[in-house]
Amino acid sequence: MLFNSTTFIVFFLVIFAVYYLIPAWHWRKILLLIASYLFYAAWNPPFILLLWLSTVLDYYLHRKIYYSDNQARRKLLLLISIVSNIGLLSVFKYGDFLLENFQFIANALGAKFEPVKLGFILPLGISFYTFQTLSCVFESYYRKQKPVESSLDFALYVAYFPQLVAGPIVRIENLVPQFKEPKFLDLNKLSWGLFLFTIGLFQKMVLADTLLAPISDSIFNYERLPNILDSWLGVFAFSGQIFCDFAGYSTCAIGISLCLGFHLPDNFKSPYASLGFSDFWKRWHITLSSWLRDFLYIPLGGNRNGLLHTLLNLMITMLLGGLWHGAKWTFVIWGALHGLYLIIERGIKSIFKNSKLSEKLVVKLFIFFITYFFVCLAWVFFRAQDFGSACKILSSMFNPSLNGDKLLTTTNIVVCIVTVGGLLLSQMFFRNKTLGSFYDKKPTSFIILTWSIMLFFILLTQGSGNAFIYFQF
Amino acid sequence: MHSSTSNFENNLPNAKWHIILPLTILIFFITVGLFEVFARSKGYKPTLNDEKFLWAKIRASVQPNDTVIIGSSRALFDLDLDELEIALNVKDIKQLAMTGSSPAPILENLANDNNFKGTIICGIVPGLFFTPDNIPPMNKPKEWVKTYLTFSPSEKTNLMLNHLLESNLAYLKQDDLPLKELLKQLPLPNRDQVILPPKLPPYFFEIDKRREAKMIQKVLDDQNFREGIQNGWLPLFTPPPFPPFIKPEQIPDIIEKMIASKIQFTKECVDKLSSRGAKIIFVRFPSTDKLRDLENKITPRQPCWDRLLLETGAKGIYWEDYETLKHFTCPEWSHLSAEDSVKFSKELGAILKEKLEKIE
Repeated sequence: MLFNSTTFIVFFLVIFAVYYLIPAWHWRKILLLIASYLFYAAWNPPFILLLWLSTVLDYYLHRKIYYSDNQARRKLLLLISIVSNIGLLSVFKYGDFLLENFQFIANALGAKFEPVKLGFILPLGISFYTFQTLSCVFESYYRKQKPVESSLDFALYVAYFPQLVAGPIVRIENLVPQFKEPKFLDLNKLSWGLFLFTIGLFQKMVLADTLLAPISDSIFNYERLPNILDSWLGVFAFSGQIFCDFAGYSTCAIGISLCLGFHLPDNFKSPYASLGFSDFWKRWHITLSSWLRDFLYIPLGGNRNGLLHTLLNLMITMLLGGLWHGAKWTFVIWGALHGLYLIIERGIKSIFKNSKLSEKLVVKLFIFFITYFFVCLAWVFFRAQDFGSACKILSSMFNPSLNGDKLLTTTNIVVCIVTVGGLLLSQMFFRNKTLGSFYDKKPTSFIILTWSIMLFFILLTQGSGNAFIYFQF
Repeated sequence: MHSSTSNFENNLPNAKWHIILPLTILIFFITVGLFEVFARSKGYKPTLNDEKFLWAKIRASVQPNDTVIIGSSRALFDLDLDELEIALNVKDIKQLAMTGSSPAPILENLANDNNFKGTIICGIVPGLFFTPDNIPPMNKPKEWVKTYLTFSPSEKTNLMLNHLLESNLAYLKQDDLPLKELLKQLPLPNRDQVILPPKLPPYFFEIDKRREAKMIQKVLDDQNFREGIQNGWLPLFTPPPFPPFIKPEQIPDIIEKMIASKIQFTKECVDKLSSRGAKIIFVRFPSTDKLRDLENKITPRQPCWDRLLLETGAKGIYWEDYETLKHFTCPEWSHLSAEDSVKFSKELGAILKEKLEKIE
């Protein structure tokens, strides 16, 4: 079920009304759980079985792991959880990718191997809920968190519909404690939740789908070579589109959840206003990057075993982070580029360790532009259908003599510059602010005006929404 | 709590929400009202949007022995389903034709559906049918077929709810009135040599839940409006120039290969359908005036239509061959008026019945 659909609006109104009408907290949680399963099954009913399997398995395992005193047994149970979770993910998400690559290597070595294509449909949100349940198993293993006692709370933690299919990837401590106390209808939370939901829809439906997607699609889907200006604008448009699409989903999720009385963690904090790549990863898809840091980078050794190991750990983390996004080499290259950026950044930082240069405004602006520029270069691989298409766009961007085709209308150009420019300026403004603090004590008329303008543009898109890009991950 | 995560708990802004929320809801509904007044003042009426989910619903409802219409916009606008059902003595004909598209991907989908043993009426517009892959006339039906194959319960519910809204609100017209389309109308001059997609005609038809589409009366009554549509067809039907790296002497060979491969593809589909008792008949619908001249020039009858029938072995009806059909003319050069579509369907139905009875 898409947030930007009529079905979801009706679904949410019904659930919201019944939720606050039921007096018993236990039954209200059961309602939320049933609603979450309906939300998921509305896309493809049989895949609900995978969600149930993951829930049952990890509820049992995370408790056993925590309470067991036998270290060997704990390790075995952890291994069972990792193999089963990652195994399911691998079969559905990476099965064909692994077979194709195995076939390529086998053929290169002279062996004839032609595997049957698995052709599985990717279950919606499997990457998100797999990482969510794994986080709770890891935290039990490291005994960072007490296990969830209530099976209902655990099932709701895994399936909670606002964040089930595209995050934020929530940790136990973010959500389960909130299930303890009953929630009451709070006008402040409801209104702010609806306001955030509107912002999310505005980002998704107006900025991403209506203004930016047609521009980036026309460049990246073009079979011949686009013109240099068009290629650059197509890449900038995609940088805006991917942010507004994904941050839009997260903001909708946070808003919807707030209407029901639950707080979800931020997933984005003005990432394009980053000063450097480590700063970028503290601001982009925060819940994934913190997951990768806590459960991959640090267990690999983090920065504890010397420079070479640190750099290697960084690269492994970013490569796997890239692969998490999809079973394509272009995602791996995207991850590798970010790994490389982080490594180079560490080198530069170590050279200028004692310098106060980075505090100067001009230098900050330079770092801001450099960061955005290289993030955009990496987006080329993220968006392109294949390696060849990515190289085509890059060659067009850096070689004016190629003289490719002009594809964008003047309206497209103006829309791209105004929208992406506006987005960058707004992110610079919000770099050290939150939306909540910005709107705090603002005049009533100002809030009504901004809310109404967003609703006006959402109405103007006529709700012709596309699926969120991150659904495919 | 992890240092990397925070929440909105401390960020709830202080504001007079008891005033803000109801006032914003009120403004929202007033805005919807204003949109509606604007749309109706421009001549729009409530009608369903002809979109992929409606098509997927009709495709999903096809029964093994149904009669199905596929083709481009002419097969969509020029056929009256009730009249055709009477003439063919069948019930519940399924309308799967699609504007601006080639029926090839739908033909393939039906040919590969082993349950389907019914009858296909396939409208042919050569300029759209004999197109290569990966261009809009092929991409659209491919996407719609994919939607049918993955049609989810939430999409079905969404379609039902959207129909409630679209049946009552004129401003919900996705082809013309959304922000995306309005932006295209901004009169900003473009750079030299910009490759632009052909401009599509404005809203000129209505469609119902069965996907029965009819031309609106404004096309007949408003000469400027009609001429606007007419002028749109000529660039739309003119093939784009070949890229400069293709030499002029290579072009006839490329066109020949394109036509041959499409006919081969069609023959494979026809053979599959015939092998399990399904019937298929091709129909060439009327076009008029300058568009007719253009079609005769770029897709002449013999190398396209005649060859299609000869090599696939299928039956066909070319409207100009029949006394009862050849007098029909299209007000905007490409489609029949709502009134004529009823008359045309009656006459065509009689010929179709006779031809279909002869197919074994």
